Amino acid sequence: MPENTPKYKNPPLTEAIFELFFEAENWTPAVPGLFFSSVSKEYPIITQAQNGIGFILGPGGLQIDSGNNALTQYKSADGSSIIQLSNGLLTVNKLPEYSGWNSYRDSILDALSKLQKLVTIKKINRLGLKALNKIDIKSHSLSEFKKFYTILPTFPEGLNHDWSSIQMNFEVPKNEGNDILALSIATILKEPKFEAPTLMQLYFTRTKNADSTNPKEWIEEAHLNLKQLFESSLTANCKKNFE
Amino acid sequence: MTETLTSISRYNKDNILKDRTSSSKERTSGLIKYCYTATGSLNIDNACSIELMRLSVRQRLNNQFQLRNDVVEIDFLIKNPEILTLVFEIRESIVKKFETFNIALELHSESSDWETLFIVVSTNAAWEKSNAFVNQLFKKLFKTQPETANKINLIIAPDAI
Repeated sequence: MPENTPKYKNPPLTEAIFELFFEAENWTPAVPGLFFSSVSKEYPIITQAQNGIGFILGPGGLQIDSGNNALTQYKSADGSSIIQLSNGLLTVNKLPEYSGWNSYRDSILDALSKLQKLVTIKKINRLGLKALNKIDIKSHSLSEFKKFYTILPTFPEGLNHDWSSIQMNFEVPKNEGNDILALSIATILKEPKFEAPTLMQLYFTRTKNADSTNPKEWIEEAHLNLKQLFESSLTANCKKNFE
Repeated sequence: MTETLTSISRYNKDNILKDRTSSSKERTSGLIKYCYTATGSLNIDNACSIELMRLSVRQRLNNQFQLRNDVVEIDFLIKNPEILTLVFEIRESIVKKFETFNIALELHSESSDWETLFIVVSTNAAWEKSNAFVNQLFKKLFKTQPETANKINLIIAPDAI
């Protein structure tokens, strides 16, 4: 972590996700079991996602999509650290309590190293690092939203309502288009412990020339980008709640 | 700084279209599932996120069901999407049958391989009416979806409201 970025006692992070889409040379159905043998100390719970789930917001509204048939999940005893593995995808997920970037980065590199001992990754198709943050803005209104976020919609005169539902998506190419830095902020329905939650997603993904990427170096750059975007997108008033 | 944050770019529209039609392993294995917003943004991709999948189910339930726990019932529905569809079908049947009701979902777990979702309906109806409804529903369910029927239990609490 860069020295000049603050650490928070109560960060709003609800999940950090590293994802690696790959093509393996020697994948066999035995790999998920062998992988479990190597991670079972830290991730003693193994489950096979028989019928994962997805949702698509299509013209007809929210629709259920078909699942991930061959996804194996490895969970820590408290369920807060999860590895997901299939032929083509490795993810390392961290749910609260988040114990800092260094610890999370090490768990990513460890999972990657253990996978590489079992299979030869012949091609990396895509890498991604995502941070999900849930921030309570107390009331779903643009006037309250402005107290928490620095990135704001603007409206022409006559439409200056106190809008209650907000969804914004931004993306910018980075590193000559090899990477994309994305930001999404949206109000979401009230849920336990949150009066007026907003979901802030920060995503850095390498979609081009991923194959020639050194994952260890790339995740540091990805983290730096996410951290800077996080710091810049929130007001000082908002960040007081994390201290 | 020459880069500018822009809303959805043509890049994403092209790539989403490519992903939808791609025959690559990524796509055909169903691992990438984009959640299309009005702008088709790349970053709303919930396939890899535990929290986003939970959020999707939570928002879909949309406060129409009380949950005993904020996580375990939702994780069960993620693992069993056919039951998520089913609880809404059951709710539809209940709406037609009972005037006043509320529905709670409670997961009872003997082990990770033996979990049953209890759908507990509190109504103002009499016992006879409630009992007949449950018998009829399960008779139909065991005939059409026996595997799913084995994972749920429906309890109607009459005169409870």
